[in-house]
Amino acid sequence: MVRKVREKRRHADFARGVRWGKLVAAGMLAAGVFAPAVLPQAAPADPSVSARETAAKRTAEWEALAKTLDAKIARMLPCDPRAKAAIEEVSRSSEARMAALGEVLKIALAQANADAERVRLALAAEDASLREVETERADSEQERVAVDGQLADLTASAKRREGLEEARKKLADIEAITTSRVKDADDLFQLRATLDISLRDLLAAGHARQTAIQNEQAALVAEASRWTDYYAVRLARAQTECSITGPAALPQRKKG
Amino acid sequence: MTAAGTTRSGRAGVRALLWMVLAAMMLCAQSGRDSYRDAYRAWREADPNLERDAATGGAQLGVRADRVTAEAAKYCEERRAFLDRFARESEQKLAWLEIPTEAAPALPAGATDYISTRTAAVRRGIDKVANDPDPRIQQVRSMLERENIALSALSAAMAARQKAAEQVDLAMGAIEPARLKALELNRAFAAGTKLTGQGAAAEATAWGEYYRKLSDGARGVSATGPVSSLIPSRPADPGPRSAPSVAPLPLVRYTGDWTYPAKGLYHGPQPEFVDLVVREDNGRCDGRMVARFILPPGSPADPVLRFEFSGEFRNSTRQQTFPLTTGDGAKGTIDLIPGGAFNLLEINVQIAANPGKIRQANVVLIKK
Repeated sequence: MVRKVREKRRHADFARGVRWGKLVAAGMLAAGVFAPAVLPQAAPADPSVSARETAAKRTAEWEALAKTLDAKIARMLPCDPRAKAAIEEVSRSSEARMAALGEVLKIALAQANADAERVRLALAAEDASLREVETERADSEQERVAVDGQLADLTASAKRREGLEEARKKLADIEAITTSRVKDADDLFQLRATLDISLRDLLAAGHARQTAIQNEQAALVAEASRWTDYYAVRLARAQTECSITGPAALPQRKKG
Repeated sequence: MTAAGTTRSGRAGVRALLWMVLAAMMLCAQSGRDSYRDAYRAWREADPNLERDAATGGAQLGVRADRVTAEAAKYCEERRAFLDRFARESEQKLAWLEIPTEAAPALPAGATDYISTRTAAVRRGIDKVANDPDPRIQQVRSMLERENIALSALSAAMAARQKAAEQVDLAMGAIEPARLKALELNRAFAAGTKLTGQGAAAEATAWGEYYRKLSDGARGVSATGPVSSLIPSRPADPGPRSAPSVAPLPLVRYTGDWTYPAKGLYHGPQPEFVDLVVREDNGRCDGRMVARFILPPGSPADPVLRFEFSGEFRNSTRQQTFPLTTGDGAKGTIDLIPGGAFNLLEINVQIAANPGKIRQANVVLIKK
C-alpha cells in the first residue's frame, strides 16, 4: 500500500518539465524591468519600488518552496509530520506572496487616485482660466473699439489738414493690429476650451485606470482564495494518504 | 492650557491663516489685470480729444501727443508684463502634465506553467488508480479529484487576474495620449499668450510712431525731419526681408506653426486636432507633428499620430517631401504642399505603420 501511494505521489510530483527557470526568470525580469523604469523618476524610498521588490522576493520564495514540495514529501512516510508542515509552509508562503502583490496594487491605486484628483483640481481651476481668457478677449475688443473711435476722429481731422494723412495711415495699421488681436484672443479662447476638453478626457481615462486597478485587486483577492483552497485540498490528500497507510489503518486491515 | 483654551487658540490660528490667504488673494487680484487696466484708463483719459483737435492744435499738439505717448507706452508695458505672467502661470499650473504617467504594475503572471504541470500530474494519478477496486485507494482517488477541481478553479482565477491586468494596461494606454494632447495644448496656449505679450511690446513702438506722426502733421513738419518725441526716431522700417529661398516658393510658405482649423478640409481619417511645426536652417527642414484622429466608435486603433521629419528643401518642386519617423519607430513620408492662400498648407502623410496605427492622413492646415 505504501509503495502504491508513493508511486501515485510520484505521478503527482512536479515533473522535471516544469519550467521553473522560466518562472524565476520572469520574476527576475519583472524586478529588473521595474527598477530602471521607476528609479529615474523616484527616490529609492519610493513605496511602489519597495513594494514591487518585496513582491518579487515573496514570489521567488514561494516558487522555491513549491518547486521542492512534492519531491520532499515523496521521500517521507505518509504520516510523517514534516509532510504536513511542508505543505503548510508553502501555503503560508503563497499567502505572503499574494499579500505582497496586493500591496503593489494598493500603492498603484493610491497613485491613480492622486493623479485623478490632480486632474480634477486642474479642471476646477480651468473655469477660472477660461474666464480669464474671455476677459482678455473683452479687453481686446474694448481697445479695438477705442482705436476705431480715434481713427474716425482723425479721419475727420485729416480731411481738414492734409499733413495728418501719414498719422491716419499709421493709426489704420494699429487698428488692423488691434482687430487681429481680437482674433488672436478668440483663438486662445478656443485653444483653452480644447484644453479643457482634453483634461476631461484625461480625467475619464484616469477614472478608467482606477476602475481597472480595482478590478485587478478583486481578481487578485479571488486568486488568493483559490490558492488557499488548493493547499487545503493538498493537505487533505496528505492526511487521507496517512489515514489509509498509517499505524491506525494497519490493524484495521488485519481485522478486515 | 485647558482643552477649551487649546481649541480657542487653534481657531484663532485658523482665522489668522484665512486672513492671510484672503490678503494674498487680494494682492493677486491687484497684481492681475488691475495694473494694465489702470494704465489703460490713464492713457485714454489723458487727452481724449487729441485726434479731434489735430487739425487745429498746431504746435501745442506736440506737447499733448508726447504726454499721451508716455501713457500709451506705460499701458503697453503693463499689458506685456501681465500677459507674460499669465502665460507663465498657465504653464506652471499644468506643469505636472510634463511628467509621464507611471507604467502599470506588471505583476508576475501567476505560475500558469506550474498549474498546468500540477494538473497533468494529478490527472495522471487519477487515471492510474481509476480501476483499482481497493476502497482506500478510491479515497485517495477522490482526494485527487478534489485537487483537480481546486486546480481548475485556480487556473480560472489566474486567467481572470491576467485579463484584469490587461485592462489596466489598456487604461494606462489611454492616459498617455490624453496627457500628451493636454500638454501640447497647454504649451500652445502659453506660447500664444507670450506671443500676444510680445505683440503688446511691439504696439508701444507703433503708438509712439503714430503720435510722432500726429504731432508732425498737426505742426506741418515734414515726416522725415527732426522731431521732438519721447520715442526716438528710428531708421525707416525696411519691412519684412525676404530670405533667399531654397524652394520654388518662399520658405515661409512651408515653415511656421500650423494647425487644423475647425471644419477644416481633410481626406481619409478625420482629424480632431493637428499641430505641425516646420523649421528651416541653412536650407534644411526640421519638423514635428502631433495629431489625433476621430476613429469609428469601438475602433481599437490608436488615434494619436506623432512623428518627426527632416531633410533638405529642394528647389525643383513646389511640393516638398521629407522622410519621417513616428514615435514608435515606423517610417514614412510627409508632403508639404503650399495652399492657394499664403496661410494654408496641405500635408499628405504616408506611413508604413503597424496594424492599429494611423497609416495615412491628408489635411489642409492653417498657419497659427
